[in-house]
Amino acid sequence: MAIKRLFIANRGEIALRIVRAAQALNIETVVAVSDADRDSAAARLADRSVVLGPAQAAKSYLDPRLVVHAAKASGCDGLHPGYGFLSERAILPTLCAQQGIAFVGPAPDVIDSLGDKIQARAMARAAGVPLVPGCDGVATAADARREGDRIGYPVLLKAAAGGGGRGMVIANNGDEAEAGFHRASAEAVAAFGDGTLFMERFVPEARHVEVQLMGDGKGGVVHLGERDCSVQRRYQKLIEEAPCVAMPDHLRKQLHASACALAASVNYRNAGTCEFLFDVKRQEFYFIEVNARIQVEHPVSEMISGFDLVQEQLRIAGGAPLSVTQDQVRLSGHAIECRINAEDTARDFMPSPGRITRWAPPAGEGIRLDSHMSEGAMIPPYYDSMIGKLIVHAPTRDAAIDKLDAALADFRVEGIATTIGLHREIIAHPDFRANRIHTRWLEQVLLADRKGAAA
Amino acid sequence: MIEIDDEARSAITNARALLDAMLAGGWEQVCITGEEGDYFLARVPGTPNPLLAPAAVALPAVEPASGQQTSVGSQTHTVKAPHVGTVVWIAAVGAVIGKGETAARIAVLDETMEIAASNAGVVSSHAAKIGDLVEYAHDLVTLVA
Amino acid sequence: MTHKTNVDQPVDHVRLLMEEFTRSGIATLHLRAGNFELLLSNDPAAPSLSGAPRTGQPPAPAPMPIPQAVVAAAPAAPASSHAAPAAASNGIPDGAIVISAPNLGTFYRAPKPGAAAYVETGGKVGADDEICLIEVMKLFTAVKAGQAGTIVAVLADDGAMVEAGQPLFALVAD
Repeated sequence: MAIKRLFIANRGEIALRIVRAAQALNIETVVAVSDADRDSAAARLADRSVVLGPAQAAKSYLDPRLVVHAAKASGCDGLHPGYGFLSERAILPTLCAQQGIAFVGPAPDVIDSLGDKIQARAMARAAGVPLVPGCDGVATAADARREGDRIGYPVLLKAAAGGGGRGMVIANNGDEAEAGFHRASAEAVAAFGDGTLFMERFVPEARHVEVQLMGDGKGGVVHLGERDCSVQRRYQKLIEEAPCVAMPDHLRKQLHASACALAASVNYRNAGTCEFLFDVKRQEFYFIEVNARIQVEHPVSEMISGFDLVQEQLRIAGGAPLSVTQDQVRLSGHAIECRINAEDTARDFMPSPGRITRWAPPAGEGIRLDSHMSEGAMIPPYYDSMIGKLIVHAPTRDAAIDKLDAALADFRVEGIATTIGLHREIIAHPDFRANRIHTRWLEQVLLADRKGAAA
Repeated sequence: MIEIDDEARSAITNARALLDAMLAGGWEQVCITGEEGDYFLARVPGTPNPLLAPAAVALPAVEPASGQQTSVGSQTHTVKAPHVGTVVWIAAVGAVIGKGETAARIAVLDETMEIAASNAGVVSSHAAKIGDLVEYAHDLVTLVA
Repeated sequence: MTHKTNVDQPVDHVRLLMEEFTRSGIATLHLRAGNFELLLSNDPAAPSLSGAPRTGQPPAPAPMPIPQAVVAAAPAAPASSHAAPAAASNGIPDGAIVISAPNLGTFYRAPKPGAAAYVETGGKVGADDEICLIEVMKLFTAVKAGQAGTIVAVLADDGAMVEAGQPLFALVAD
């Protein structure tokens, strides 16, 4: 049954994005808000808003019972969780099912199994998706050398028992693997009482590449190409592009096929993303994880495919099959997205909440802005710092960079600090233009240079 | 930025709502006094402000809470919803409610919560009825001390 | 015109109200709640809160509460976690120093929900001991005591939103 009234259990730009997608499909909308978001753009545009609780997310957006109760009592027959908050918590679809509400996402058991690293790796292996070469039970120095030789250097050795960075050693050859074993194993014994180590290949300069998937839970799975999200700071993506031009076509085909095979193996329903680490030197990719939700960076895939992922999510949650076959998916041009955050890059990215006194975004052909901001809008200090996403689309990567630079130059925001200036620096950097970047490039090169210049 | 407390914050929220209502309703002036604060709004310059009249502070206050002299007229106290929920029970108008006693019950899915009055009083009015979906901070009942 | 002791909320509510007042074009808006009182007026002849008629005032949205006057317990605390001498008038012992919030955010007294507080009143701390967390937009900043001594007062509620420079602890140095 097609959804007639949709509950949106999220805030910010994605709540607004979902309201618009629902309205395009003639679906009524009810937006959940906290006390701090009563006057949000999504709340104003939706047919109705419901104040769940106070500003603190734990007492509003993160309480699944309040969310589902409000959805049911406001007469909704569908619920979209957006990203973040409760979007990958199985309790939400479980409660929705109890109340007869269609959850815009995968089945609860699929969320749970994909959310568990060990299970997800096992599922990937079963579906033939490549994993980072590694070994679980390294018990002696001789084991370490033998496994290191097999896996290929450099390798990472860490305690099998514990997480975090304790007892972590990187080895570049067999001698270092043996020496590293003694050191890491001693630390592991001290920390966890168990000296057994886990070893895996270490990729010093990796790219983050991910495949956009859409499944209907009826056996249909398509991909909408891949995204390259290698500009990151502390594992947070700042810039995403599609396609990943650093990847040759034959590898790209394998990447797409791997992601689709994994999704098909769980009869995946919803938009989803299969994330990979791309080792450019070796020309290999390895599975990281599946994100079972719409992602922040979905617009770059929409720009190159002309396909509305959120509308498709809503149709599929209402019981429809995929509206396209893989043959009908046509990818063209290059798209780049910048996440605009309310952060002061001169003060170590300190969040900068407050009131926006001027908001003059760029506009034009091939320029898209997904944002809930406007002049006079208040950025509350309670939630994340993203205030919008600027996306451009052009025939080539070079043309897209040029367009993005012009768009960023036109983007005027006052009243708060933003990352707009940093984005201009990044895309103006010769390494970015030449596409010589990796997931630690921003911190190791650009931000390090910036610090050096300031010192 | 100006630092204010919860009480002042909710008073400002009330004042904003009154301003909206006044503009929407085409009223000339609004004056409200009670436990939740005192408010006076006037469209026309020169309208006498009763809150500044000397008599306004001379009214007998019933058990002023922690020494605060906020009341003009009777002491009223509103019990509000602590989060979203559906009203399943509400104390009858005229019922006497002690401090900390249940003034209303709201349900979230299959769970029912008791909403206690923070001050004693007699239920003077209902701001919600059984079956209503009430939102966070929505008024449930008003008590008069 | 405003007096406040219990500071635990940020912010821009007053400004929001003032903006709406300005847009509305009405003459007077006056509110009182607890110790908080605010009078907005476009009426040059209107009495001010002190009762004296204001003359020669511009016919603009009227009296802005003065931020310094609002925080009775926090006279111009510096915007850093470093100590400032505590005013004698706020019930903090003479010679105690105030440890303030380095930035706006939510004040957490424990490293994670449900855990024991970093420090209680009467607790001894070292200069490098972390004594609370300030969280803003998912960024957690640990605040250090800065000086060895005894915490003699906790000046903000756990989970409350605090502003940059708002006093969090009073400490008597060893």
